[in-house]
Amino acid sequence: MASSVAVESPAASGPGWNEFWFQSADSRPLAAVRIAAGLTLLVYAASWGNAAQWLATEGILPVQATHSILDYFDHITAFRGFSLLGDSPAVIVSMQIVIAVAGCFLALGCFSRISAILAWFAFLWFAHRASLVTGTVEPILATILFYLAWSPSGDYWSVDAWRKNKGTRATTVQGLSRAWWLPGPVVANIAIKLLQIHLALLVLSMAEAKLTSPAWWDGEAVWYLTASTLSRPLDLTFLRPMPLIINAWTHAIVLVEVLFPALVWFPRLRCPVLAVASVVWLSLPLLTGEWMFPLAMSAALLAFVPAAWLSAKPVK
Amino acid sequence: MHAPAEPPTQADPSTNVRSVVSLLIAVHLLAVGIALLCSVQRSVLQTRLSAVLAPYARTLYFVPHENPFLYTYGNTRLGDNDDDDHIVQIDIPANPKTGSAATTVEFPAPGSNWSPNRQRAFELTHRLGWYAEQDADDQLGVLMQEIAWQPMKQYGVDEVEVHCIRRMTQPFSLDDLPADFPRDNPASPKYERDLYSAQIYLVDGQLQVAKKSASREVAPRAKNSGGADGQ
Repeated sequence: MASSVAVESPAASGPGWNEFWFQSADSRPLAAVRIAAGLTLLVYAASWGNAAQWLATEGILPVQATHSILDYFDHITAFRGFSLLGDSPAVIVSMQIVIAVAGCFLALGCFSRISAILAWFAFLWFAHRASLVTGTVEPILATILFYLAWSPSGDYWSVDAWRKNKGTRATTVQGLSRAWWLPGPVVANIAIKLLQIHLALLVLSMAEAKLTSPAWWDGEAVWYLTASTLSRPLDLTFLRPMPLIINAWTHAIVLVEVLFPALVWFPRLRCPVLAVASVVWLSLPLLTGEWMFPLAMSAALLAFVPAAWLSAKPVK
Repeated sequence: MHAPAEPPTQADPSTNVRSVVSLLIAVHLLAVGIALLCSVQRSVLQTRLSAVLAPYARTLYFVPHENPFLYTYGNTRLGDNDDDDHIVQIDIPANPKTGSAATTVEFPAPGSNWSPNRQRAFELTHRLGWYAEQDADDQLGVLMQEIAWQPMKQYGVDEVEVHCIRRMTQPFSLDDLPADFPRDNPASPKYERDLYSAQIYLVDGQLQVAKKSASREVAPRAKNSGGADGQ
């Protein structure tokens, strides 16, 4: 009897589970993520300047050099596959252009699915090739692109949706994207939920990393970032006589990263949590100079924005 | 007693589909969770799970090789902070053929610290500093010769001397600063330490590296106004 229930009822794996993962969702948050991620990707590609100077045969990190370093640390498996295309300047610059163009198409929602897959592959290739010099942006963008590559992110605010709506076939926007054997709105729900959970885990890992360091506990981490005389973007050492500000800034960063993964799930708290987290993450570039980090995080955080906030009309 | 089953609709995927997708979701989240949350310190169980699941997350670049979100470990003892800045100085000899005088080139090249490429260069020099501390000379040599190669081509020389310099970070409390370090100038050469020096030269079209010294063997460079190794 029990087995027949398990087979017949979709609730076999738990009604909560099914309700959470297999309900339909409006894909507007994915569209917002797509646009922001596309623009961030465009900026990312441009930020390399002439990437061949870094990654090509005559550059600082040719395949062979990167290979020997990663091999030493046993991080070689993924790199091997992504280094098959070689390191000629033409390959490096082509990949950079693919990222930029795919980012542009993604932002516009033009061939959204293909653009997302192309952007994802080119970005992964680039990140692995440059893995000795990557920073905080790459894991965030890699995460976003993974989910965009198979989700119906082009159903709204896109050239794709505009073209379909102008087409002769009476196709509803919701029906634009069907991923394999799941209806588009269900895929949208799965993608949004997975992206949200993944981001919560990512933020938790940020907190976990910081909590291994005494400087983040005793409130002096902000000082060490601004006291790095060669790499700091701004000289904020005038804060030395104001230890409480340095302590508060340090603790705020850690506190946000500890609390965000727990509190962002409560509908009433979501807006203030997103606002506070955005402010704190916007403050980080003042210490590190990594201005693309809040850009990428903002793109990712759009996954937490309810569809109703993004819709002129109430979402059913 | 069950309610009569409704016919499947477009928004109601079949049980088989749900089962497969549920399994994929669970495995994916497990891999992501293990990779993200076990990147710092691991138990034996986490290490074993990571060995199985982390390659998936690493290939998709959900986690880089090192967690970049720590930013600073921080250490009040001068010279013990692993997150100190590092630069590479490349001493270019005079070239009688081109008439260029001896000069020193820095990597990263001077510029705005808002530049992502300069941040990437600091990421690389930080790595070099770590290799120097670990006496990982093979890795250090490989990267040093790649960094030196472009200036060698630019200045048309066959031999340069490279130095990996650590700029120590002034501690928050000046009480922790040794007396012979200037308090009012944290950018003073006194805060610099030569971790690694090597001669890089071109032989038969191939770059060769001859290590001169490592951090524990080297005296401060002449410009360091003498005597400081930061300890």
